[in-house]
Amino acid sequence: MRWIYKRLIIAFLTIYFAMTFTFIVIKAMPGDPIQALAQQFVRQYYMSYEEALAMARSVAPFVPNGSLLQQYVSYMAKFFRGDLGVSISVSTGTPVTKILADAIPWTVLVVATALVISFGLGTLIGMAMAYKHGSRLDSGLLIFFSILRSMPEYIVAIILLSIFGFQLGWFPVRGRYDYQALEALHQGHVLQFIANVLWHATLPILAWVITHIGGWALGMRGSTISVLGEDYIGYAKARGIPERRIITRYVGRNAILPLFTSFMLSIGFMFGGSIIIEYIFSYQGIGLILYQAIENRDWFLMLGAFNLIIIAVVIGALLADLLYGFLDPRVRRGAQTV
Amino acid sequence: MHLLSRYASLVVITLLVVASLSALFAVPVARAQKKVVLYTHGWWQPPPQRRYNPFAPGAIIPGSLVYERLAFWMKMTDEYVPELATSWELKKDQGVVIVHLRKGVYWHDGQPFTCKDVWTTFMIYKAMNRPVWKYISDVKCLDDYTVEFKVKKWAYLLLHYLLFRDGRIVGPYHIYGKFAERIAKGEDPKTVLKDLIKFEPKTIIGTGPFRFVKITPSEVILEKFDKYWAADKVMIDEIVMPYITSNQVGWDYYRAGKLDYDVFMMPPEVMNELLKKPFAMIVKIYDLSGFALVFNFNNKWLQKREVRMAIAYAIDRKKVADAAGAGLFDPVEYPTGLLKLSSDWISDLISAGVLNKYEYNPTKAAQLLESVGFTKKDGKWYTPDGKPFKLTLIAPGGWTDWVSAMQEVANELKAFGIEVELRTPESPSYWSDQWYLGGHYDIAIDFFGAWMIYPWAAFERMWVEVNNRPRTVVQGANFPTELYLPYFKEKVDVKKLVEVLATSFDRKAQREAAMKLAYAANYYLPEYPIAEKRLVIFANKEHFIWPDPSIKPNYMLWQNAAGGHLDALAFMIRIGAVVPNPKYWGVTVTMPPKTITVPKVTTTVKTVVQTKTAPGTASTVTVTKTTTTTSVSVSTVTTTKTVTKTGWGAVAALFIIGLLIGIGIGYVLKRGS
Amino acid sequence: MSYRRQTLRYLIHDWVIVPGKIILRNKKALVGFIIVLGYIVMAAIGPEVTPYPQTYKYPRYIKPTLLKWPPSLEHPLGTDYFGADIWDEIVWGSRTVLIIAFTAGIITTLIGISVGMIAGFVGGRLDAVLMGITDILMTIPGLPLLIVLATIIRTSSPFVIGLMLSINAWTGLARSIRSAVLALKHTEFVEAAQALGLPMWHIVFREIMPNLMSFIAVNFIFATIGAIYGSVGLYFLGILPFTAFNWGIMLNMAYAQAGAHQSLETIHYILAPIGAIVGLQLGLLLFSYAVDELFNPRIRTEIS
Repeated sequence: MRWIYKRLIIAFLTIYFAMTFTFIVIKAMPGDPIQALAQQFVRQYYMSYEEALAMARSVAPFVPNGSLLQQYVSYMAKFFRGDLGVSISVSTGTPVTKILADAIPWTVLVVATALVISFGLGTLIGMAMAYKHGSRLDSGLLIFFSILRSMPEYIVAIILLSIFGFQLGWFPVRGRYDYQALEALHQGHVLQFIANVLWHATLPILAWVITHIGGWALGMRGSTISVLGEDYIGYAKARGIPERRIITRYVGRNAILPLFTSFMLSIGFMFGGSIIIEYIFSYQGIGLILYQAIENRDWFLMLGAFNLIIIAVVIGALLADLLYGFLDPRVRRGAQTV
Repeated sequence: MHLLSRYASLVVITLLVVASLSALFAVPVARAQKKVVLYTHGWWQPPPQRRYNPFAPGAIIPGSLVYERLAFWMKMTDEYVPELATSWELKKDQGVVIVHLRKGVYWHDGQPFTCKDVWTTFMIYKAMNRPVWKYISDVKCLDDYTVEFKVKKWAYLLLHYLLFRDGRIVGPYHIYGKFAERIAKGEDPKTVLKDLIKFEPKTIIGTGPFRFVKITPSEVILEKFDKYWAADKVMIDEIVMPYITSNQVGWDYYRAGKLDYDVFMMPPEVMNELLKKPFAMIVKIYDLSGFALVFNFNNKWLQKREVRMAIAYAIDRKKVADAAGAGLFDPVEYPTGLLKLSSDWISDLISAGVLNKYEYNPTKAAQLLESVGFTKKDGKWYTPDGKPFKLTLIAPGGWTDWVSAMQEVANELKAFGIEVELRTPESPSYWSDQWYLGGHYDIAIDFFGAWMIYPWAAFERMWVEVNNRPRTVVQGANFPTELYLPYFKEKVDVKKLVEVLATSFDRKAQREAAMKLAYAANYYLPEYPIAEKRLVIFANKEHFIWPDPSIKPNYMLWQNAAGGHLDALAFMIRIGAVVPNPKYWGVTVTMPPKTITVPKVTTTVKTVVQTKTAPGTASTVTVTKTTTTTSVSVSTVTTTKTVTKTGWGAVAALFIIGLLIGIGIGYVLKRGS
Repeated sequence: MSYRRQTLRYLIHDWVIVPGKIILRNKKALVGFIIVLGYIVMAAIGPEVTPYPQTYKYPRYIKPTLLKWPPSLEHPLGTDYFGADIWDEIVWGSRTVLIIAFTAGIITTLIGISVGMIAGFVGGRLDAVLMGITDILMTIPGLPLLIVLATIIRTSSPFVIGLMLSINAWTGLARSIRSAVLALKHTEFVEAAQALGLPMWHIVFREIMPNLMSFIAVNFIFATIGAIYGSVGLYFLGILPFTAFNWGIMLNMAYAQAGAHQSLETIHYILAPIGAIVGLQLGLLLFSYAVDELFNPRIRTEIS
């Protein structure tokens, strides 16, 4: 139990210091929100600068002032009371918590589904490749997945959007759902709404899956091959344990363990990476919000989004640690290998 | 090979699940299409979820489609067409402007529109310190349909701000009156504004042709307002405004026929590709702005006129314009800071041949540099004190048109022998004191022309201030304000001349000031205007019938889109110039005439002329809507089209869930075995 | 003299002949090695032998002449929106991309190794502090942090950008190295060395490092791949400061400025940088398959 308490305290400290670091870095950014907003209005609404500035000006009450230290102390104090300040750019004046709470479920939907699919399929395929180690199928898949893994996701996303979204028109090109679907939901057609949401999420999910499945497959392949070479597999076979049981209980379980940590870490990575995917698909999740916040120098929103991801990652890592302890007794002895 | 059999069972289960789920809810969604819907791009960012208060920053303002102005400003002719106002009088002897309001106008919630609403809006603008209050000192209602503005300073721009720029009436008294009353009582405007910004009304209320219906995470929906004062002209039932994050995605929307009217940056290759579509119609207009190279006068070499001129001669404007966007940027003919459409203002200078065209001429550039002591060794220029001549160029990163233009400038200067370094801080940094606005550069890039054909805006930006910072800060303390003009043989104060443009009603005085300023800009080159931007408006001619832009009066309607494409659309709709295509919608419509005239009806405009002032020519020309062709039979015909919305996409989505469920089931089975 | 020659021969044998044989044995790695070598040669001498990609030298959008019949090398990849030769641009851009990638790779690996080694070997309070810092940096989302940092740095030097990209890329490696060191610390040979009183550097560099070499090398390659991926992404979004030639900037220009993905006439402009990026990534990845064998003493002895 004491071990868990210790982990909790470390997690809290990590969150605290990471937040401080982010605060300092964000405060060092050049540019001020009013100018940023005004310039954006000029470019985006094709309006004159004067009009744009008048629009941006009224933001002034929200722009924080005081010395850096004062701002830091007041931000931190408010943060731990659950007050994340208000946004300047997105629905100006709306509490950051509200904006984030509105955005997170959608990013979680996309990221989690993509992660589960790519991890699930990737590891299965990786295992199959390991069993067929050296065959033509194996080397073919190896090259194929290597190429997939080399493709940056923004390129895949653009290609998907262009082909499936516009040329073929199979998938919607923007947003979380159609407004007709929302009406349907209000009339009680829940399934129709869910279908619509999934339909909208398909391309972003696909972009993630295509670029990530290769990594998992290759990782699992390598890990399975090394497990297959272990002595205990041979003993198990010799003892006449059914092959199916060997595959699932002995090989699968041991091969997947090393991937487990990277699985947990990739949650945080994908949250950060969702900036590009959501930007390309106009999918309003936390990534798009964060991108806009940076573009507009929307300090509170930026800090809020950063801190939220930080907390999510720390909690994810904490869970991974605890779970790993359960799954792999070696960890408890401190003899963790890679 | 138990493993493979396991996979086989998984696949079978997956397929089964997909099939059953598809049967469950992949039924085609039948949608009766009986409305005429126009799609136009509304937002570059996800629209703010609930910002219905038009005074709040980041509010949802769907242009004149929802909120109207006192008068609409025809950009090309500098004329005002009545909208919420019907006429106005400038009474100089009494120091007031009287505006007569239209009767029979309703807010979208059914309340009648009266003078009180104008008063409310202007009082709140007062607290917000909007520019119109530079010229007026008070506003009051003479009766329900007559507003009196007390003038603080008579200026040519007064009407422009009063009727158009700040003339958008967005604050109905029955909603915002309480704030206006507080401001009128003399409460600290800041506290009132703070409360006002926090205020969130139930919905958006305007007086325009369209009523705000709702906002979703991906679009804004408007529908026709039946009690609109010109409702008989409006034949569009619904407007959907999706948000589109980038030009590139916008092009895709066009090609898919998913947008009916919009403005996007578009390279010629993309445009040609698009024009292959049968529905594509493209109108090119002037953006009324362009980009210029801005010299930093803190650099002791750039202070010299000869050096600035040499740089101007060393750059091929055509190439730079093409780099920024072939077909989208026209190189300027005479670098004066004025737009092409404003060239009438300086026609005397042009015909007198005193303006320098700065045509690409490296030899001349070299001579100029040598004349101030620069030397060229091994193809590189050295300053008179023997150091390499080195310049830092900056451009806002992410604004790819400007970045490629600056890249080309850098290329040409390098080829000429000047060492250059191009920096591209991302745009919020660029427009901050750390970079451009703080004067941290040698040559920067900035807008010129400033979205107005009347020369004041262009010269205000060039000589006085940019983004509310004086030019002396942005371009260094040595930025000249008093200049000797050889052609006019006099020394002028440029700031005073700009002020003349702002205030004088005298066409002759305006013209003279404009010519002197243009000449000064051309002679001294405080900045070097390179190219003027064109806007490409895309319209879908299969869905709607649009005014033919090749006819001049019609073109004027399109040109209004510069600086507000939604306003231009709203104007075209409300004068009946845009109608649904009967072939596509199956509705009967009265076709608009081929040449859309915004007919000039003699409205009573009394300008009490003061002794010296010439009649404020342009400002008094007023126009109202015609009373012809009112027999518009917009019978909302019900063409019930069954649209299969959930197609392959849904099936694929289902496949993914199916796969997930399949994996789940497979796992459970595996555990069971 | 002969002693020196002997050493040289051993060195050549150890570092050239044996790795060469291993790479030759592994076809995938061979392909990867050739690709990467090609890129390095291109970056090293390419800009010296190819003409400077001057804009408006040729007409815009000439189709790739390699794909024509008969193929020619006049404009192998065609010309771009600005009338510059795309092949020349790719060549000139390779230097910046490779400098950024390898700077980031080397710095990431160096920091990762030192932090991991020190934390694992010294242990105690220092270990706790170092791992604390690692954890903190690890939790901050990488891409958004880079976007923010990119606004702060005021230079376009590829070395600085490489440095920036490694800001929190090293954390994973440091953690892994630390646990590996912890595991190795208790092996017989390290314990024996400690009992013998051998100096620490000896233990670290002679006993522990060789066991981790393949792991480190693989991580170096992955850090390099990650840096290419990250830098091109940031250039693509238009966030990193502009440098004259860079594939990421080409991609950005082709996508945002020229809309080259919209038409078959212009698609070669966007495919060229994509191909260059994917090719380099693939080469590095394929090469990494042989790294394990390169440092595996069993295979090495088998070969020699």
